This record gives sequence, structure tokens and C-alpha cells, in this order.
Amino acid sequence: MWKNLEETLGASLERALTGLAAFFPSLLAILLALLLSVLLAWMIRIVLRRMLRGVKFDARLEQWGFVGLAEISPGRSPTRLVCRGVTWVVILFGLLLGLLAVQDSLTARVLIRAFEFLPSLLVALAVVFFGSLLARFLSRSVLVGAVNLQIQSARLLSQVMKWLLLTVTYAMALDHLNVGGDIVKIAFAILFGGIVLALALALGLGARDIVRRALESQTKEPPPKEDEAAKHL
Amino acid sequence: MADQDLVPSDIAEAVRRQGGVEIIVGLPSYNNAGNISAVAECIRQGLRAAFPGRTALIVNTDSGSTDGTAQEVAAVAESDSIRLVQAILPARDLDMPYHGIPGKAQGLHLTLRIARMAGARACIMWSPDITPVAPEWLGMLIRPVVEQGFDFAVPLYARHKFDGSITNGIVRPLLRSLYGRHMRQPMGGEYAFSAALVDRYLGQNVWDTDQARFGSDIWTATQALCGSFKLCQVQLGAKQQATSGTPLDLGTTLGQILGVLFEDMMRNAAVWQKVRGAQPIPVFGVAPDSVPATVTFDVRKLVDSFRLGIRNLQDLWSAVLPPATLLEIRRVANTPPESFTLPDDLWCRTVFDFALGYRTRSLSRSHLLGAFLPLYLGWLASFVCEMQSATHAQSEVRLERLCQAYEAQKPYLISRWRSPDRFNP
Repeated sequence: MWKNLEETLGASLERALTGLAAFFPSLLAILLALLLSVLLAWMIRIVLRRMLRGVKFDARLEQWGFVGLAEISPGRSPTRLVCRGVTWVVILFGLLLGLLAVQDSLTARVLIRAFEFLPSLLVALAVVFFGSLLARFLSRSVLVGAVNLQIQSARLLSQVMKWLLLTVTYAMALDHLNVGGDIVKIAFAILFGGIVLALALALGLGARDIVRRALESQTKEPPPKEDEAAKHL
Repeated sequence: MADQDLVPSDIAEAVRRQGGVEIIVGLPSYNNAGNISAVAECIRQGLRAAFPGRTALIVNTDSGSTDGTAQEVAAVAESDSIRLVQAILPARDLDMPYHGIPGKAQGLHLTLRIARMAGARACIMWSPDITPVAPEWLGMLIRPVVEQGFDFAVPLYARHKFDGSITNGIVRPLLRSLYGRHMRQPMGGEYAFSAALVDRYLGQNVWDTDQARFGSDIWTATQALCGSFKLCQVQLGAKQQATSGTPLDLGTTLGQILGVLFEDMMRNAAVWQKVRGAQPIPVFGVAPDSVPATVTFDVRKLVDSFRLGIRNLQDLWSAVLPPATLLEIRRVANTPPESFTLPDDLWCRTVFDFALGYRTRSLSRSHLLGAFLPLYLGWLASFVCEMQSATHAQSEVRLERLCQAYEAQKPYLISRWRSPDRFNP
């Protein structure tokens, strides 16, 4: 019995060692790919940071209206955010290359499928990311503008703006990923059409007189506007 | 590049023909046809009366007027000693600045280059929409620079106690606490300065920034306040602005002014952090008897605007204001309009916190500047409520107290400026 047990254990140890020996080159390949990708990412990060600082990326983004990006960036610097993002993408890419070296056809197939799906996923994530930023920025702009114009329902207006943009953003992202097929498009069309119809009805039924007066005033010479701000200067 | 190469050749030739110019008068314009010829004529008379025989050059920089302003100016008579030159500036700015002249900074830049090229002893910038203007005002304002060695002279206009509340509540006390000099009306639009300041202005790299585009008047004053220049104020009469073009709304106006002030604070942080206390600036002339036009505000409306801001903008304010300040502001909002009071120290800290928020970008800058309006209207409501039955002298005493409150809160600003993340009471 002891002999059998010894043989069994010896065989399993041999199999484990053989497996490990067979896996060792793959492990080395993974580690090497990871190491190279970290080095490459480090170099790309340095070059990219210098380039972005050289072209005053942070200031330009603010000029172009992407101010929300600074709020979520480390150290309030979009340059750092982009550098970190690129660094991690390069490292992830290296890791994936390393994993592909594993001699397991099923794992490799799964990884290759995942890898093929990655660009679409990244684009969809980018759409959601920038859409969310834009929604946040524009809803705040509407809120501040409406408060300064003394509109009592300023918050409601701002929320409407935000959710309209978010709805469009998520519909675009899902459509890009081919998730849900036509259901997303149809649901979006119904939802968006419903909102526009509701707004049109609300305006038509509730604010007919205001619209009429507004249209009439367009055809008349506007009265001279009082310089309200001048007395504050 | 030399000034001669940057000044239009016809103007350079006119300066050369005149054989040196002692005084330069900068007159920017943009659609001021209704008023400009009277102003230009007034400048000519003022120069002739104050400095007979001295050579002067009126530099009209027009930002592409479409109402014949340039032709109106060109029709003004010249003499041997007083010449007029004109430059039509390319229309570049899309956003209208609060003072109503889109290319004012470009005009100032060109005027400064002409002044340095001509070796002028003094320069004066004059608004095209000032009305009524007395010819002697120009001489009164520029004389301290030409004859008494001052570097920067600003006017003191007679104003109603509620007129110029952005100046009184923010610009004047803020600049005084920062730079330690008490300039009462730093945004007058008219100012005279020496050749030394011409060199300083031209040495600054701001001409393509929003700071110059929107607030060259404030920027020129802060540059004079920052350096070791001799400053003075000159009592003039009651001024009115002629309306030209479409006026901006109050939110945009306030945002532009605050943006320029906060940019200046960032640029000059090394200077103002060393300044303690404040020194008076000499005043020439006597206060005029003329009664300025009455300015009125509806306190209830102002308080309503403030409360609307409280209801909607607290999320944005909380990115800029410390929780304790926000709590105090909420408490103030609950007081009835008749006894509405925004304490001075709270107001000063709020202004300082917004300056810091602008610097650290704790919020998008356009949102930050826009979100300040309800707070300003709250301060204005408090000031109007308190000073409703006060005399002009009493309101001046009250403003002096406000300035002292800014000075008292300056250590708070410096602490937060140096460690914005650590110090958050």
C-alpha cells in the first residue's frame, strides 16, 4: 500500500513538475512581456507628459470647454489623467500579449475574443465618459445661467438637460456595442420622441400666450435695453 | 522688434514730422458716433488750455466701428502742437467686454508703443462715452504726472452711495487689502501715467490674454499698485456714461471683472503676500458740489435672487466654500429682507474663497464666476438695507469699515493660498 501511495504521489509530483516545467517558459514570457510593457509605458509616459505640457494641454482643454475633465483628474491636471490612462493601456496590452503565450488553446481563444471586443468596448467607454462630462458641464451651465436669469425652476431645467444628454450618450454606447440590437434604438426613439412631444404639448397648452407674445415681439423693433450692469461698475 | 516696426507707418511718420511728442492721449472707440466728436473736441480744448505750446498727439484706435465713428473723429480740427492720428484695428474679439470696446487692449498696446517711440513724458487714456465732459478734467488728471512727478493718476468721480457697487464691495477693498494702497475708483476708465509705467506695461506678456481683453483698466491699475510707483487721485465731477451698443448683463459683467481680478492675484501672488496694512493715496482737487444721479435697488428682489442661489447653487458653492462659511450663508438667507445683513467678515472670506477656487480650479472657472452673482446680490442687499437712510459721508465710513474687514481677513487668504488643501476650517 505504501508503495502504491508513494508511486501515486511520485507520479503526481512528476506531473506537477512536468506541467510547471512546461508552463515555465510561458510564465517567463508573461513576465517578460509585462516587464517590457512597463518599461515601454514608462517611456511613453515621459514623452507624452512633455509633449502635452509643451502644447499646454490643460489650458487648451479648458478653452475648448472640457473643464469637467480637470475636476476628475489627479491633481486637477488632465495631462496626468491622459498619461496614466495611456500607461495602463500599454501595460494591459503587454499583459494580454504575455497571456497569449500560454499554451492553452481555450484560454487563448477566450483572450483573443476579448481582445477583439476591446476596441469597441474602449470606444463605448470613451463615449460614456465624454458624454457624462458634457452632460455634467452643460447641466451646470444651464443651472448657473437660469439662476442668474431669476428662473425659479432652474434645477429642473438643468436636470432635464443632464438626463437628455445622458440618454443620448448611453443609447450611442449600447448601439456601438451591438447590445440589445434594435430594441435600444426603438426604446430611445420612443423615449426621446415622447419627451419632445410632452414638451411641445406643455408649451402649446400651458404657454400659448407667452409664445405668441414672444413671436410678436420678434416682428417689432425692440425697445432700448437699459444698461443695468453699468450702475454696478 | 522695435516700436517703429510695430507702429503703422503713417502714424510713425506723423510722430516724426511733429518732432517729438510730450503728451499722448489714447482714445479707443467702437460705435461711439453720437458722442465721440464732442469728446475729441473736449480733449483738444483741454490740452490747449492746460499745456499751451506743448506738443501732444491724440491717438484714436477704432475697433471697426460701423456707425461712422472714425469719420467723426477725423473731422476734429488739428493745430501745430496738437495732432490726431487714427488706427483701425482688426476686429478679432468675439466676446464683448463689460466696458463696451472690444479692441480696447489692442488700442492701449498700440498707444503705448507710440508713446515709447515718441518719447512722451505722459500718457492719458480717455473713454469715448464719457458725458458730459468738462475740458479742464483732462488737464486736472494729467497735470500731476506731467508737473509733479507722479506715475499714475486716477479720477475720483462724484457718485451716488449705491452707484458702483461692484467697485465698492469687491474691487476697491480687495485691491486695497492685496496691495496696501487705497485707490477708491480703480476702474474709472480714464487714467494718466508716466513714461516709466509705459515701459512696465509694455514689458508684460498679457496682451493676448483675457486679462487684457476684458480688464485692461483693472490690469493697468494693479500694475501701478504692484510696483513702487507714485500714485494719486484727482477729484473730478459727476460722470455719466453714454450708452453705446448692446449692454452686457450683470452676470457677464461681474464674471469678467472677477476673472481679471483673480488672474491678477495669481500673477502677483509673490507681491501681495508680503503686503500688510494700507497706505492712503494723495488726493488732488476738491470734491465737487454737483449731485450725482440717484441709484436705487429693490432690496426684496436682491434678497430673492440671493435665496434662489441658495436653493440651487449650494452644490457648486460647496466645491469652493468651506462648510462653516456655507452654513453661515444659509443662516443669513433665513433673515427677513428688512433686517437682511451679510456680515463683513463672511463676505470677505467668501470673496477670498472664490479667488482660491479660481486658482485651484476646484470648479470650472466659468461656472465659478457665474455662481458668484447671487452672493454679490446678497451683499448688495445687505449694504442697501443698512445704508438706505445714510448720508454720503456715512456710507463712505461704512465702506472704510468694509475695507478694514478685508485687511483683517487677509491672513485667512494667505493661509489658504499657501495650503489650499490643508486649511479648510
